[in-house]
Amino acid sequence: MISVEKLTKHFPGRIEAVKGVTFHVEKGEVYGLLGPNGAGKTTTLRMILGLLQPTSGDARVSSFHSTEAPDEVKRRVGLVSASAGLYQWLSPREVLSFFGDLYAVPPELVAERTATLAHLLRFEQFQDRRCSTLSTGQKQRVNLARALIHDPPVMLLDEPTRGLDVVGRQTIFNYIDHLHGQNKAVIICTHQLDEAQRLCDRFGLLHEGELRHEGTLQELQQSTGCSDLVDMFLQLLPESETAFPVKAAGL
Amino acid sequence: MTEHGDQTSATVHHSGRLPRAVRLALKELRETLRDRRTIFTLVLMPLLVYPLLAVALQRFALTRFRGDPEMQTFFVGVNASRQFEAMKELMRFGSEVVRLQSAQNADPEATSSTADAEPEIRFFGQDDVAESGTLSDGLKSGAIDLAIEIEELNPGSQHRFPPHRYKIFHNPGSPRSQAAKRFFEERLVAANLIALRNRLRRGGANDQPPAETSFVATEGTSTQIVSLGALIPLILLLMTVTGAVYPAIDLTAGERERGTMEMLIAAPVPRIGLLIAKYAAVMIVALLTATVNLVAMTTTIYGIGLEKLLVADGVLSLRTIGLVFALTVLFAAFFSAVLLALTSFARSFKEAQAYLIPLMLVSLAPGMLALMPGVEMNSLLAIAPLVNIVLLARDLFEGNANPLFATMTVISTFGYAALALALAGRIFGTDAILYGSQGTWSDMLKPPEEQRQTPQIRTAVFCLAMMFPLFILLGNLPGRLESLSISVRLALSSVVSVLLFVGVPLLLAKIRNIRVQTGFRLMKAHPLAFAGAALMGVSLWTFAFNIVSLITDIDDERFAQFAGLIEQVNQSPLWLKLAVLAVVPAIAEEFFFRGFLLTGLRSALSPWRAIVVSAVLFGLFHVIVRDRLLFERLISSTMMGVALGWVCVRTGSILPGMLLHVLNNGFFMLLSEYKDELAAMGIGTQQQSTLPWYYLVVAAILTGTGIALVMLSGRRVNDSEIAASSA
Repeated sequence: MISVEKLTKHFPGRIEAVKGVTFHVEKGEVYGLLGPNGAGKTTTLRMILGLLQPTSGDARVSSFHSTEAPDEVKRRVGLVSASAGLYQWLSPREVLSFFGDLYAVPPELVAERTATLAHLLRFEQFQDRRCSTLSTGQKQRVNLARALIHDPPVMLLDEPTRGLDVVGRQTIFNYIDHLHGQNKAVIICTHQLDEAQRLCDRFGLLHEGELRHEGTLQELQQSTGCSDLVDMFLQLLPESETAFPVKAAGL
Repeated sequence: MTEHGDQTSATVHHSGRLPRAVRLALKELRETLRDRRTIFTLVLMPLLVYPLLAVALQRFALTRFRGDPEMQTFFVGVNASRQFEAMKELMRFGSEVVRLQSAQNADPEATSSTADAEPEIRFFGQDDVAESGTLSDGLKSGAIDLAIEIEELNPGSQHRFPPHRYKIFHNPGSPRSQAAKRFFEERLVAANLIALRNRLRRGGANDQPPAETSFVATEGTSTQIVSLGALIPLILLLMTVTGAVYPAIDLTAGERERGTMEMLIAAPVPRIGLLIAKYAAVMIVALLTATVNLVAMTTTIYGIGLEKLLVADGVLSLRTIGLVFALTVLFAAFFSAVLLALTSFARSFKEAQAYLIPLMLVSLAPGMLALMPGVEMNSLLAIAPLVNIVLLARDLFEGNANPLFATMTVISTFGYAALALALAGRIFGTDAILYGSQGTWSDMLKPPEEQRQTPQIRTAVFCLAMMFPLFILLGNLPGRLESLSISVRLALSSVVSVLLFVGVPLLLAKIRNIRVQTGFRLMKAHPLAFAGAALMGVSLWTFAFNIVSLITDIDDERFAQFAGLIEQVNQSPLWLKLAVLAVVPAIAEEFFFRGFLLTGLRSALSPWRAIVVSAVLFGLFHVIVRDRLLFERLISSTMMGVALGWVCVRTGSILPGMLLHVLNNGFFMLLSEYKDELAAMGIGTQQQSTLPWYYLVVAAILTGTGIALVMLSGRRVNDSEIAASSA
């Protein structure tokens, strides 16, 4: 369903953000793209969706190339991002209707899906209120619904739990379970390793733009010799980044 | 939600792009109109500003009328110098009566003109105002405040005030003229009353009154304190730009700031489609703002009774309202596109504001142009952005707008709007703006690394919008070089054709890294296609000729307009005329209209829609000839454009169309060359006749055969095939 081959992105004047990353995600699979801040996770997602042009390499969704047929790719992908906002002066229902239109979903189907998603994500009570009056958690729920309004086979989730409280995070977990049940191909970018371990079927450990390890938890345990993702993650980092420099600071 | 595999495309709604575009625009509009900041600019500003402005204006007006020493002197033209004295005597008497009445008046606050010092009246005879023409001309131009025709009614009368008939001409649009009218009316009525009362006392019941007065309103030309024609463009410019600023920023830079832009760009909608919806919303808000402001301003002006400062008779006509609305649309169309283009570059509200403030200041300069005397509209100014709308507005309100310049203004303004939108489409939502990747402005000129086989629609529209002002600028140049011989000028006009229709698109193709062979459809075609095109080329002109003949008398007034030019051109050798007027323009036009433009249009439109749009644009380019508008050419040229477009789409090449076009032009040229011989046969422009029916039958057979051959020559070539063939 998602195929990434030797994907590379070089920003002029900066280091290479992504270096020849290759991985595949099958239908019904939840793939965790893990790595510290600046590892190149978000850049990889943006290239898969065709929002950024790769310097080299290739990303495909349902065999459509993200550079050659970006609209076909976009039509098949739902994007959830922690930085995504909402239209302040519209209600959740109007936001969903607008995005339904953008994805050319028939209005009657938009109405039907809005009702289903409002029930699923529990925003029936405030679906006609202006988005500017909603709390962060409520906005996130609307954004989750927005990404599903065209019922895409592929979901890309970029730091979906960032800034959310316990209730908000639980909503995200339920949401991902739901996507799993819907047989969608899902990529989650996060550095919340405990969450990833709980939600994902397979993992890709990204560091400084390179995919260092890839596989199921069991495969990763075998290849790294570490028992959990946190240890694997720390193993990737140089000691200078993880050591607490008490002596150096003279404390 | 339904279980599915990769069936997303099955749920895609195909109810048409237009309803969806309207819904997208409505969403933008709804969002903007709900924003308090829009409401503030749209409604509260006019409600707060105009009452305050009204008070200030009223005080200014009162001060001006009371304190202006010039108002204390009235200039009055009189037709009969012999009766001067009788009138002066009667006015002196009237003034005395009014003064006495005023003295008796108990109300010390009386605001009659007599409460102040008596104005001075300077009488002029017909000879004194000779420089201004007649008395009536003097009144119209404002040289005199009143024109009075005096007629003695009873030459033998022995009364102190013998009866006279006074026909007083006044200008309702001039406050000075109106003050003078009131002054005369008051004194003549007072004098009449007292004179008649005295005569009645003396028993002269049948006596005529000393003054039989009538008033005639004469429209002035420059008597208003503020010229509507000069003021309206500035007001409309300010109102539309004010209305467009906030939504333009909010719908572009605002999208990025609130984090909605990424989701918008992640949707499968072309960026230009999103921008067009935003453009419609910005334009509507700009129009609404201008309308609310205009209504508030007009109400205020009427409310404080200053309407005659702006409108001569104090009544806004439907024509004025219609003109104001049409001009508002033009201003809004221009500003909405330009503002959107600029704000598309901005990553934040602050950055957008920094871009727009200089634009608003620069825009004031053309607005002031209308207030400057001596600036006349010409073909150059008619394509100068914004200046053209301002001058058109001024000329429309002064009643001397030129239809050619008006058409050029409208076309070029929408062209500039398209240009600005195409520019915005290149940058809005790009990763440079979305994620702050390096380089924004430079990206616009950087050719894409990957070569494109065909131009995108926005590149084609961009090229067209650039082409129109250049067409006006360069197209008229050879004709103006009158010192050169006609042959040289003709040769120069071919160079201009090539530069315009070949050079400009080629330059753009180079900049956008478009493959020339496929981007211009310079593809091989089947010999049958050339044969079919040749048959169409030798026959289609007959229908075009008949259409032009049917809808206009081409040899009458129109022919006279070009008679001199035609005479000059006829002195050139036939081969030169054929080369310069038939072959070169045909090849150059095919290169652009069917090559670059039609191919670009086809990237977003269905073949037939693309053919029709390119044909209408082709027709419009043929309407403007030198400094004239030839609307009769629109239909025939558009129909020819449809035929050429069809041949191009059918054969996948512009080469057969070039042959068709050359033959068509060549036959028209030969028709003109041998018009005398044809006239002898009863055919031709001299007789204003259409071609005989048997000509048309033969032509129809040839055209039909040509179409059949083109259809037989092969099938349609689409973009994917071109891409495949070039790979």
